[in-house]
Amino acid sequence: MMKHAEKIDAIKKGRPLRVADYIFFVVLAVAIAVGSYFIYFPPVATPDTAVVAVYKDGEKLDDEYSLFTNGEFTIDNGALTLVIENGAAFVKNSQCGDRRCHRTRITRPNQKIVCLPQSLVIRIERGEKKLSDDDGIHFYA
Amino acid sequence: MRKETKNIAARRITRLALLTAAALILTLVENMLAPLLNLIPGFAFGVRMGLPNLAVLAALVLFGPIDMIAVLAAKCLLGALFAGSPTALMYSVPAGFFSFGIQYLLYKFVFPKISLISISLAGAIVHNVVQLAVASLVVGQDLFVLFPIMLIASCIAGLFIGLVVFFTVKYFPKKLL
Repeated sequence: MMKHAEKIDAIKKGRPLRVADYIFFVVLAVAIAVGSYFIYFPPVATPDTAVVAVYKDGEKLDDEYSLFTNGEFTIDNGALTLVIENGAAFVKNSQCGDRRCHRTRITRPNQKIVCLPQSLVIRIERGEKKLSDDDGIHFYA
Repeated sequence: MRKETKNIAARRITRLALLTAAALILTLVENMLAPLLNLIPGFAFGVRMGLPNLAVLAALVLFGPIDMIAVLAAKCLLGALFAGSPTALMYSVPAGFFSFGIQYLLYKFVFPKISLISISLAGAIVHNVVQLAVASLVVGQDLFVLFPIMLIASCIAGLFIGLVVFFTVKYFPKKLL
């Protein structure tokens, strides 16, 4: 193993990148491309039964909203407004302040809008046969 | 002899203070840049560049792991106070320590087969994984659906930080080591 001074010398004399770096970059790029494809375009179609469910502090709230019935709904006593429009769900009038959740539009099962400050998660579920926590999605369970 | 020891201690404290100051200034710069980054569509989840990690990685390479831990701890604590959100500690402390743990191991055992840039990149990825895991636990929902977009952002940031640290070390005067 190299000593501290030798490593500093190696940096001072060496080039910024080595062959192993290029291999690492290619592997990483492929992994990101494949992973993103499956996360953003899951191999499941949005069924007619799809509903929008809301979770507060990890607990599912009672109301579910069909993804195919347009409307505006007040969530958690006015914490935010959920808008459903032509098979897409998004959020407006969030009370959280930074309003990052306003940027996300979801259309497919298992996609989510997250409001960390208010601990709210809005998720599309399949309806009758919903994707529940038992489906092995939770890595930490 | 005793005077010499004191001198070394004084030098060390000074350079740790300088690195911590650099990390905090970078935290402030990053906070100013954050709204700009959020204008880019898709970068919804409060993506940050992680500029302060520059000072921490430089501390590891130039002065070793113990100094790195000191700068990292100071950066996490003071950075959270500066940014005005102590709850950020919940995310930044585990993510920071895991990320720099990996970077230290890579630097100790794999470097120079891979460069500082790859080490920084690996650190950025681990940082995101841990942060998302903590956020998932806090919210009680699997948030890894956000992973790809965060990963792309962190790769860009990791590459940039690795490159800056490389050139910092390359042109760092030897007599200051």
